[in-house]
Amino acid sequence: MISDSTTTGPILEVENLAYSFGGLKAVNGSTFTIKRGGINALIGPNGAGKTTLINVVAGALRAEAGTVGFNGTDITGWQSHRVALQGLIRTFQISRELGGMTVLENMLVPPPQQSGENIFNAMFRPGVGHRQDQVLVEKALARLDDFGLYDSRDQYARNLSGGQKRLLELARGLMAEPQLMILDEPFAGVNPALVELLEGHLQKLRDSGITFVMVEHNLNVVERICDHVVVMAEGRTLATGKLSELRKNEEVITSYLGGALTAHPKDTSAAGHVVKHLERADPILKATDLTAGYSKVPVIQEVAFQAEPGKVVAIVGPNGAGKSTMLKAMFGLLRNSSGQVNLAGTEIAGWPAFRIARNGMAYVPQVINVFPTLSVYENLEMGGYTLKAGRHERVAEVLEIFPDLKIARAKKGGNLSGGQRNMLGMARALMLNPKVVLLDEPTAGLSPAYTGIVWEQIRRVAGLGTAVVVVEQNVDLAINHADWVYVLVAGRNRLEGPAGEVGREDLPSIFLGGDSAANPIADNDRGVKEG
Amino acid sequence: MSPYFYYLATLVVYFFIFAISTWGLNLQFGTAGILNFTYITFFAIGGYFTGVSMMARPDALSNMRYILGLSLPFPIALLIGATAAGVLGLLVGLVALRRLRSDYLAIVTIAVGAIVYDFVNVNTAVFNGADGIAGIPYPFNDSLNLDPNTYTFFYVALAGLFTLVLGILAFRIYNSPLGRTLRAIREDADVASAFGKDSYRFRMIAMVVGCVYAGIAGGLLVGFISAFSPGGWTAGETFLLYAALLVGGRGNNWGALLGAFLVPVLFAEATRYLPEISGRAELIPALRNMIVGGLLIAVLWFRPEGILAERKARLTGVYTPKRKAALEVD
Repeated sequence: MISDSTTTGPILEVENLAYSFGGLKAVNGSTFTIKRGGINALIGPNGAGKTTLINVVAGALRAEAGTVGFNGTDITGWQSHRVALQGLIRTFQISRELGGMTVLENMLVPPPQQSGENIFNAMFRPGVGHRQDQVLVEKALARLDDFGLYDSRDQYARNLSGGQKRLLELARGLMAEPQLMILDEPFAGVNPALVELLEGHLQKLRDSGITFVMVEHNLNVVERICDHVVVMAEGRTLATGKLSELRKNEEVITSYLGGALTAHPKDTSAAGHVVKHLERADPILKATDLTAGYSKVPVIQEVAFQAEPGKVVAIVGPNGAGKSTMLKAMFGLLRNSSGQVNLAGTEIAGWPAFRIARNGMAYVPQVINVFPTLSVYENLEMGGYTLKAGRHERVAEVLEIFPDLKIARAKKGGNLSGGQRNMLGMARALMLNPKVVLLDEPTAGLSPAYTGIVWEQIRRVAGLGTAVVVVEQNVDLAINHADWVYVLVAGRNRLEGPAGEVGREDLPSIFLGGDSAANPIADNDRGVKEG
Repeated sequence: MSPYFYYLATLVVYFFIFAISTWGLNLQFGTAGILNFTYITFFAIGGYFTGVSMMARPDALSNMRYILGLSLPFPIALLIGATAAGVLGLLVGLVALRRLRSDYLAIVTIAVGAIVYDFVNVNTAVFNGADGIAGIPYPFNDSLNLDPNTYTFFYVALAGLFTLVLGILAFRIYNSPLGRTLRAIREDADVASAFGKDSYRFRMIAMVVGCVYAGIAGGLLVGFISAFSPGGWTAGETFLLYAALLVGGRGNNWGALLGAFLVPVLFAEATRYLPEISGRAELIPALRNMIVGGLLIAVLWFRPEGILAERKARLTGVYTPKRKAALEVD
């Protein structure tokens, strides 16, 4: 029920909201209420449906079921511009600056009720718009000054740094005079030194009467400034309350770590594989002091890593720990990286990806691009494009590893299920018989049953002598199936060890905060390095 | 007066007409990011309706068949022509602008252009089919009674007046908050929507106003040459206007003006002076298209933003920063 009060009731009421992409239920009956005033956090593991929820609430996507009430008005199904005019403004997870316009112009787009937007005024009464602009420019300049963007006011927004774009995203949204602002990861990519400043701004703005809902992965930030927390998992609202209470909530811990942490696997995992071994063999892939990122802010810092032939090495860590970045850095996909990467005795740091691939490393990204109109078999042939001879034999060999694909070998790539698609990605990477395979979240979005199957295949691939490196959201799975586990936190090595022994007791605090090492600022000061 | 001057005056009239068209295209494509691949259709519709509104009812003696035949004075006829172009723009917009994807719109406009072309070409009752219409009265000349040469100079002034007024309005729109919002939609329609801008409505405004510009330009051309036929309104003409805008500088009304001078007037007309190659009469028009195409490629290669790039908006305020450059943001 949407309350009828517009001044005292809750500002946002979401009830049983649902939205799916094809078969994937991204938001699946989410229900929660946001009270007026305050900074609220929306947290949850990757793939919980947070961004989709924002898109549905703000009208960018149309709800399949459920209602959204804003200020006592039912806004379900409204188009985004109407939602915005009601005073609900959202920012985007990936900065969406209007690149071909100056920073100041970016600020002047959002204000509502601009009479200069009327075509008649624009043509015949230009003074109307210009006079209003003068007032808006003053407001915008003051806002830009607050956010440290004053000196960049006349730059094209596309020329700002990644961090500055985040700041502009927030500053610009405020120009729309919101009552409720939904921020999608406002701190992502912001220099740690600026995080504190931004926190201060948000608190000041809250005191001025704006309600905030923000998606945030850094739980230390949440702890410091958020009054109320909504936890999402698998498209549903899992729990709400204060972070300190939620940390103790079993369900929340489970959702973050992916499946309840089962008892230590004994000597044998579910797949029947011997896990325990303390001495590590000679690595085929070894990274030392690896630092890499997308802009000037490094995402991973001085990371050490190694993988041995025939072993599965898992990389786990909270969102934003730099797991995917690490794979990309080793595979030569990031320009701004430093440190050493050694592949089978050859130093490959700084090499372009195609050269690394030719030297025996394969990379399977999180989102796998299969050729939708080609069959599974043809997709595999494409993966072996550079093979000079024996392509068909190799396809046959690879299909032996993946019985599921063997059955579906005539199926078009576009008709595969999510799980089959992930398998095809893996299988295609194996076509060139690589020494090392990097897999970025091969089980993301899969049903638990299929997840098990995918991990079986991963073990099988390793059994053939390949070193397999897996980024896994689900810590439990990683611990149960991998040989060695690395835990990354905020871009640095936090823990590592044999899968059966890695600090199980420490994991809940690492993933849910309350642990100073999860704080990037503290991290920078102390340079924590364990394991 | 020498025929040279007469020819030059003709070129100036063409330049004015192309300038108005390019400004309209700049509003649609350069400012709002609308890919209208049948811009010339709106130009043609404007011309047709202006023409048939000025003409008398078709009589039995003449072979021409057309609608309206209202014998209206030029200003009212032009208003009808401009309105017709605007209404067609609205209709196309209703179909095509709902979807925000610009490639979708581009395909719809190509289809509309083909439909209108075929309709006009085949349906002789509307605009006399492929033969077109001739003998449209010269605007104002029933009272002026000027000889053809002098009338050309009168028309320079008439078209110049329209160019001046429509130019001022084009600059005003671009520099207004409306222009800013349109550019925001061009940059990222989702973001504009997230700030309460109804992208559909705003793009519709740009679509209709741009089409009205085209319609007025078409009306002015028909009044000047006193005739029209569908053969003159093919997709190649739209390409010529896009070439003008891209060469001159999209998103810049000065660029549009420069492009209108360089591409359809200077380059296209200058090729007329190339010596004819005997027995190969078709070579010169082909050369014209090759030169325009080559110019376009050269500009896109060396100066992709056009000769006069879109200018940064210079907005100044009186605000003095509290802590200038105190923050090091990277």
